Amino acid sequence: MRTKLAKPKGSDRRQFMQMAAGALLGVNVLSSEEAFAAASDGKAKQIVYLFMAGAMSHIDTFDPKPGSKNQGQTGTLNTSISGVKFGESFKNLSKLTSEMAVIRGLTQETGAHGPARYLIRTSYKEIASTQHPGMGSWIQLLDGRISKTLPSTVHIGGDGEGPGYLGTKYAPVPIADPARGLENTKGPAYLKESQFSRRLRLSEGFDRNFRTVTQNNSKVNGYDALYQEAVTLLKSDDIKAFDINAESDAVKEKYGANRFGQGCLLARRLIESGVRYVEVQSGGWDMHRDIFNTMPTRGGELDQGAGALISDLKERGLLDQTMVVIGTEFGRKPNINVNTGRDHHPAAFSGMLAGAGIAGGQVYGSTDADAFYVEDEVMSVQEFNATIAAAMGLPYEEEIFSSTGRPFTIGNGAGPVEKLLA
Amino acid sequence: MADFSICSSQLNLWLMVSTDMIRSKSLMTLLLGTLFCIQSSLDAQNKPAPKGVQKKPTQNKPQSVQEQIKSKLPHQDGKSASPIPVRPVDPKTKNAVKLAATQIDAIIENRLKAEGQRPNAMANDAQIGRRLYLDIIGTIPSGRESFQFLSSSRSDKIEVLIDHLLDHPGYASHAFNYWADVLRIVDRSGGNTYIRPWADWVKGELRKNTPWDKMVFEMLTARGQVFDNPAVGYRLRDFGMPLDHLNNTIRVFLGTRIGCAQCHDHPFDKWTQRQFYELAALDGGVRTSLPRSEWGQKNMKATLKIVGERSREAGKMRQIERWNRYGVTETAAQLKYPHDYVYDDAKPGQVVKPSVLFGTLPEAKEGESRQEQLSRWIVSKDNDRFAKTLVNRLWKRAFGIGIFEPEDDLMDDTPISNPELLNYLTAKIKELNFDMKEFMRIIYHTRTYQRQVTYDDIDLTQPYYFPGPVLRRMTAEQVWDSVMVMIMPQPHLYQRPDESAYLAALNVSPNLSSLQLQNAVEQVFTTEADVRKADRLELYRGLTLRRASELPQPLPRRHFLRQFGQSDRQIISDSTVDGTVPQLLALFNGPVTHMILEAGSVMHREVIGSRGTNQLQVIFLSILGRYPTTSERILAMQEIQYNTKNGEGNLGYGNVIWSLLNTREFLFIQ
Repeated sequence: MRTKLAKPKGSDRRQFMQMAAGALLGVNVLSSEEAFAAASDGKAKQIVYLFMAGAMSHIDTFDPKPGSKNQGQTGTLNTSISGVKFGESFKNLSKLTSEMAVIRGLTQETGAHGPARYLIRTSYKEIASTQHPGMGSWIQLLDGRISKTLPSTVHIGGDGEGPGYLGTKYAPVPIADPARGLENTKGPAYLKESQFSRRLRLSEGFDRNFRTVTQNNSKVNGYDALYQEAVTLLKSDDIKAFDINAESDAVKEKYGANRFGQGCLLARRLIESGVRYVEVQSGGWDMHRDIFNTMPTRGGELDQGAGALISDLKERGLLDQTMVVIGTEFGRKPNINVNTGRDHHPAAFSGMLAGAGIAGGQVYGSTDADAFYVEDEVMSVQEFNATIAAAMGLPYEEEIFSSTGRPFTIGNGAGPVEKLLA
Repeated sequence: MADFSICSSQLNLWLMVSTDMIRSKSLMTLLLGTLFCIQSSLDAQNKPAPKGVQKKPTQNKPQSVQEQIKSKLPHQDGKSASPIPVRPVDPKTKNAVKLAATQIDAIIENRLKAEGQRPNAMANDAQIGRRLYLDIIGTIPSGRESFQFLSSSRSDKIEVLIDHLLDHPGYASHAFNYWADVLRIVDRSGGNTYIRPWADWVKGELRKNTPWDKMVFEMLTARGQVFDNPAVGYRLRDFGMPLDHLNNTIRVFLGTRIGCAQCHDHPFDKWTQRQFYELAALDGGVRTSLPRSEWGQKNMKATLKIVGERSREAGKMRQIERWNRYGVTETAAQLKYPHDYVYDDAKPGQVVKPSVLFGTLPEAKEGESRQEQLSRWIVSKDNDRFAKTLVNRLWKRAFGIGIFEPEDDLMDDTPISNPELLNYLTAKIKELNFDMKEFMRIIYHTRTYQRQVTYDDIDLTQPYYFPGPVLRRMTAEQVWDSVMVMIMPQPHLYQRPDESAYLAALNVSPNLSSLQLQNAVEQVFTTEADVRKADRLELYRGLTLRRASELPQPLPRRHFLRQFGQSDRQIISDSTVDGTVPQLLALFNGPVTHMILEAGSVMHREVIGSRGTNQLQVIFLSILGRYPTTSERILAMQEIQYNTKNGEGNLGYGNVIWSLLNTREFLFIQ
């Protein structure tokens, strides 16, 4: 496999080549502490990516058009940026705009959920011949892990995108229910720890023949990394980071008594403990019907969870190294359909970048009076991803080769929008 | 309990566990079971038994089930087991099946030769036995089944097993899991509709082996409410999004993605927005909600006042009304181009003239609607994409990779790894009138399928010429259903509770009087409680122990099945077989692992019921479908002896079982 590792921040090309050679010889490029310390240049080191699955309507959230015929029943409110309004659900986020770059000019071409999600999470169109890695895996490859025991990427409440051709070493750990955190971490009471080790050794022994015939199978071999990750986690105290029940009721309340809110709280705990990339998914945004009844709930949850997360991170001094992103697969057609809903609309949608690495207090991009097409400062999802990479100080132009020798970059060749970077 | 090598008491065990099954339909199963039994006794007489298996019958008298089982695990008495009729294969077509299989092998072997490649060696008995169980009925074989298959010396035992498994209720259960992923089967679509009858209908059609074209046509053209016509669930699944529903239909059944063309000309394929609208015009009259004026409860308001707006009854009443207001009808409404239509070939607001994407629309029959015409075009034998998409999907299910990929994005320039093979299979499925079971029967009879898997990585940028199947990880459902086999006898005999009384209660006229409406609410509460109660019969330690196809669709995100990659049914074919840390933790410490190890589980009973060195064989046969090698036996014996010596009693057995369950060999299909 031709693996070309990324250029670590602050090092010149020659150093990089030495490191790459080291990596090929099986030597770790960066220890986790080094990786953690390396980025102290105002760039983000960690990310919480809030993904609104189902396609978040832009006109009801971050790109309202008060007074237009399409606005419908969704009211608006003022934000801290003069002249900029949000949908009425965003009571908290509207006060945090100094940290945020609101993006109103996103656009892409597919209106099907699956392919669109894949596109924004990987920067690539879904194809049969390869599986592209999601952002968390990319970032782990380019920036290394922070914690030796905790995974680099955790996906809460949604499957997100896997490690693709990068392999299981870069696989996210999915958490189904934030209230339960990581499950099945305790063995039965009768089983001593020494017995657990015996079992693992025994299992390895029984698997020897199969592992021999499958030695050239990366799917089978990929489980090595998973076993290592699982066993390391089980033996580490850091596993407590997954338990939001260590938080007070007041704190839980602040994030919202719903799965997404609790997911944001878990994300904050994981960020504190050194997880590099956390994705929290919120479902139920596919509002083909009855949008004015469902939006206040979904929007309210997003506002409360994201609002609490951003202010909490700020209070703890973590917003200086953590970026918070709001993303979705596409927008919703501004004209209201016969079922009082809005249909799919890939032509224009909104997103948000906040915190470390981002120049807050601005709106980037705008749509026309109907919120139908992007008029100004159009942004592709690839540019969105390249901007995230640049805000982390990652080499977005660096080519990584998949096992079949095809080159890929984190933004699929796109560059960042400089105006959004701190 | 019976010694593992003794057939008569084996049979007794089955009799005790499920008399229902034996009394009823499963004569074939019984016959075959007996056949295998006799055969393996013969084997035992004629050739040396596998090492460690005792030849001498023991005098154990079978105990009553109550005596045997002290565990609280459900299913042990077989009370709620029910026979499930399945349409069997036709023994008379066996020769035709074998001939077709030979022809497929010839096409593949010619192509391999032309490419300078050799086919893989034939799989051994243990590999092919386990593979057939997993591929056809979706579970590993039980230890007994493995033993029976491996000990049989019939030269045609693979063929016998294939037909036996195709007649097994597990065939439909396993096929259902596949189609549920493709069709995004859910019990409820949002809070608005209740469409579990559709899921049950799909399962029923697969049991009956209804031809695919009929089944699809039925779903596409179903009209009415889900209570009377469950196939409408296919359309209600996507209520309120007609254009997306059309995209899904074309993608799923014709392997063609037209979604992009909904908003603009397709950027990667040839479809224009105009073509999309012309097609949509044929579908444009179909409606999914019934007008409130006709279907709303006439006395709703008055009754709400009586029972109290915020009462439990009021909530239920609203739900009943809402669920009754969904149904499929077709109107004469005509589709118009959208107001943002930008191309020169039509004007926004102009009525769209209907047309199909390719081929020709069949002449309308008398009284046939536009949408029925469209549906006939979709499933027609003249529409090659319908047949091609199906055979490629079915082929991929057996081999792990399609003749073209992805299976639902066929374009003019999509590489076809073996066009001759695709053409042969396409012609074959038409000749079989879309009989999927017979088609799969042919595939399983090929030498190509029965070869060893390709163990090395497949280069997806290169065509795969099928030297054998590829190595696959089990699907989530295969892992779960296999675990069920280790926990409980005959897991395939347990179904979701019958809910016909509940459905009848839900299905009410909109003209009920206030009193009738209140009675209807009571009736729904009662029947709903009955269903819930029946559902709890198989509940154990928070998990309902039934096969994946007999659980809610989909399961909550934290369920074992979802952890292992079952789809949430939001996106077409969204299941995965990628490993994750929580999966490993579930197999390390999760509740199902405890259940396999606890007293009363099939595993536990089989192990304590066998003697000495047999026990190890039983464990290996029950988990991996093969005997242990000499070195594995030594390793296992050391573990068992170590624990006995150190006062840990039988823990060593538990450790061996746990360790095998946590091998990669267990998770993969060879």
